[in-house]
Amino acid sequence: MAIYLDENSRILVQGITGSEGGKHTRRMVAGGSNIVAGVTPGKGGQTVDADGTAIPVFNSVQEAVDATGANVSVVFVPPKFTKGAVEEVVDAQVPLAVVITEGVPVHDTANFFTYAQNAGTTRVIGPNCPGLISPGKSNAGIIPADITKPGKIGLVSKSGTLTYQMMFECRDIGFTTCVGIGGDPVIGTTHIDCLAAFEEDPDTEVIIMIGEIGGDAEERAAAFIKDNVTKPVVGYVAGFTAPEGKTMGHAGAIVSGSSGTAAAKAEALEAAGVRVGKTPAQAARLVHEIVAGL
Amino acid sequence: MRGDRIIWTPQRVVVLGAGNVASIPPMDALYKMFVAEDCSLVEVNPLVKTPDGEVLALDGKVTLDDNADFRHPDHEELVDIAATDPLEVKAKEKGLNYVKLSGEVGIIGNGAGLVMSTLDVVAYAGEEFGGVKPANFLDIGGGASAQVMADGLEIILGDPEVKSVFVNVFGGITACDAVANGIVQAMEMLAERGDVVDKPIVCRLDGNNAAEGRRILDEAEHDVIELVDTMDEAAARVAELAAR
Repeated sequence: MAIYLDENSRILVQGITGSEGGKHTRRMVAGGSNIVAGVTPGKGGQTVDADGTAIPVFNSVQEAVDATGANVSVVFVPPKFTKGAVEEVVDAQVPLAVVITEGVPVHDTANFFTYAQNAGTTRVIGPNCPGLISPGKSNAGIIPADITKPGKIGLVSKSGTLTYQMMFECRDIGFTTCVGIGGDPVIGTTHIDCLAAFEEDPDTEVIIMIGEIGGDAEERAAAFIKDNVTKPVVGYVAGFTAPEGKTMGHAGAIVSGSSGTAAAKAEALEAAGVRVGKTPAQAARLVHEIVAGL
Repeated sequence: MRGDRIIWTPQRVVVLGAGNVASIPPMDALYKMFVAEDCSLVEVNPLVKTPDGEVLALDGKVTLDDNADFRHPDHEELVDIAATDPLEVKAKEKGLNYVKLSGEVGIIGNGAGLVMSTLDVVAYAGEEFGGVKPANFLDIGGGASAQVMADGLEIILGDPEVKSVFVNVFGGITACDAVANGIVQAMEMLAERGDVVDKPIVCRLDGNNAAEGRRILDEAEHDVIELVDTMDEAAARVAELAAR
């Protein structure tokens, strides 16, 4: 089992004829994902070649879904078109939209996420995220497919490279699904959504949760874990040395006054019974200890 | 809420100076402005009522979303470059995601989360060496081309407080051999620009094609470059070098 994405996932790529969309489509195909369609308005009827596989391009998400039965959309379109692109996914009732695009205005995200919530048809992951991978089953986004194998860890993270780092450190154990939820101030799928899904997933035995400074998502996740999660959770939070008032790379990664600090987040997680590593390597060691004792 | 009372700091915060008294607009006007200008914050604080019943906004603060700049070309003129750290201005001109901090270890990495984590790991390691701290945040992104690496090293080596440099890369989308070639070419570019690189640079490469990346750096035999296998060990080494 896995969460959100598995061997039945039929993926369409919005922005497939762009350089990033094209590059990552080829990577996803090489990694074993079933990419059934691309969408670029005005380029319907073309095909995109991914190492010998000809992927048909459609003018709209609805056309692509009608023709191919796609049930996941990965969004690579530029920031100013992202809102429209996601609304199209919702209108076509595609159950999962994975928004990779970085630099989406936060008001646009708030609008398309509300649109999706109201429609009740579509889970949104991102924006500004690496997507998600269920090793050995499917890969929707830009997470390298060859770092690790299927296994018993579920991972949810605000950070792309820390996801890769943690997948690498625990590559001997393997993962059910790794979800990069993104580091923007407003995001679709949250830590809590993934924690709930991993709790339900019978193959996930350990959960890794990676957070970073800014907002209160980790504190809320800690409260959720305390009441709802029975599986062992290992946490890591980045940004202990971040100064107040400075955005650290991710738009949402900012300590405002005394709120959003890494120390407060780590403390909240520990109080909820989460074992928190001081460094990524230490968090990986905690996971290994837990797995050895299962 | 426009005009010469507005100051834009490096965090893109617009501040109405405390000495400027403005009457508070109705709430719906505040909300309209919040939406129309793509604000992430519109704050009025303090709001006071005078003895004769007048309500005054004594100070206010607005944060604008720079991801929405394409809708607001007029926002650009609000940036106060003079209030920004000169290294941050230079980095911004080169399109680098750089934040100046007050320590001694220059940091370059790929990915915001990994770089934040690197700062923490260096600060922990620095506790053993008299409180050595990271000198900056610099995320060169997933691509990590030679050009970007050279620009990044130039900014960091141009910081007089920097005593050692930590290049911490996890090869994900970009394989480590490409990153290693980027580092080697960056050193050549810096030499061509006439920059003397005499500060020790500790490199940690992990992930995709790490062994090949390490071999490339080994064979380049740069005097200042030192390879360390893991992030924690590399942090300890670079802190030790900064403390010398």
